[in-house]
Amino acid sequence: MSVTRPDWETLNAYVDGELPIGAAAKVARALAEDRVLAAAVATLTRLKAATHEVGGDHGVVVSRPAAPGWRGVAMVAAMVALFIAGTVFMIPYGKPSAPPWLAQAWGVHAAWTGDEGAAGDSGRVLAAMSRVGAQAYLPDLSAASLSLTRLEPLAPDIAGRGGMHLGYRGNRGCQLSLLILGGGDGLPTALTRFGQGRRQIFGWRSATHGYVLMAEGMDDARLGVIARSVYQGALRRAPFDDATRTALRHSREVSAPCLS
Amino acid sequence: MPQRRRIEAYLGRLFGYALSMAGDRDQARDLVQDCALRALAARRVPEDEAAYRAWLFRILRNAFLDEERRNGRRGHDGAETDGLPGPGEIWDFDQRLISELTVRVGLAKLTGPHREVIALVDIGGFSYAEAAHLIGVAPGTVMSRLSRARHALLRAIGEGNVQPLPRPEKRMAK
Repeated sequence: MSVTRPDWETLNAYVDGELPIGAAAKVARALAEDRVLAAAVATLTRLKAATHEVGGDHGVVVSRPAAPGWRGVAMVAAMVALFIAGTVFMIPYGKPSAPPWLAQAWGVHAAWTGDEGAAGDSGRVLAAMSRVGAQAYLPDLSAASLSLTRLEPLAPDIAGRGGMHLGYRGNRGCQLSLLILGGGDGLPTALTRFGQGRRQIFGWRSATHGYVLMAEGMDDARLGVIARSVYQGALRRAPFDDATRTALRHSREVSAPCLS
Repeated sequence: MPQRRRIEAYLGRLFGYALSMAGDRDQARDLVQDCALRALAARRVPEDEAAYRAWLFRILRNAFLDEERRNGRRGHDGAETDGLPGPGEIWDFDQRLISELTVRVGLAKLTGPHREVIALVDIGGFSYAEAAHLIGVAPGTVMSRLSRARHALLRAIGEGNVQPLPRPEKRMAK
């Protein structure tokens, strides 16, 4: 016996647990008979779960308007200073061993920053993802006040490898690119700084991917914190922890706007 | 339970709600901070947990709307022009596109009422009836608005999670 297909509104109410028992049972029967409908419910369930996470990284500490105690300030400052010191002074320069395709990688960044950026579509996003595999680490840089505004497959390939270009923009003129390559040929395993002068380039490779992070005119210490955070996040394959988010926020607060 | 600790249990949800409405993390943090301080200063606080949660969200909502009015904006403009999916339109949506990051970017492209209803139900955890009471509409309106909002969000994620955001004016740097 076929069951009438529930409409979109009813499916939403079903996912939210808002239907009366009888109506919910009817939807459940329809789902059992209709794989396409079941996929729609799975999509809604996933959307609801992902939306629920939006408030997770809030960084809000309830405090009185008065200035915080010096101990708290000193502790945060010390923590951030340690993070930044570890970042700035421990990232080796890698000019002698820079991979030959680095200029091509920089070209991707330069082309993007000189353009508003072409709009992508879901097909292109999936194409980008499929070219680097599911293990690629896509960092959320919102703690650094940088929003992902571009996610495109690389064209042409770099060093014969496919990859994707993630572009992030801030609200003070900063633009940062992260290239994720299907292989890390020529890149060291340790986070290494390749850029000189205004070209700020960091690179490293994991077991499965190569990562190249690029910017221009960004505060050096801030970019160092971002590079270190993404590097460690990619190694651990985990979201940023509280200390990292604090350091990202702080480094942005104390940095100057980006120079174009 | 001390009031401060009681509020802290809701900070994440309040921030998600504030971020959905304001679209800016710094403004969202300020709104939550303002909401928490107003709540801490209140003489009478709801005992019932559900009422307490709704009370906190109402404080935050009012703070946001006050700020919008002060800045000469109208806060929740945005006609509900988005239609519901036609047969087969949404069913084959590729779930791999859905993540916290793409949802966050997609939410920023919705109208105010759409962002708010999604935030109240999916982030705040309110029932349709509770959300309806909070924003002053009928539960049926929440149901239809929410289904339209999610449809718009899926479309924004599918089509536009890679669209560039407006390039900021340099003079806005701070």
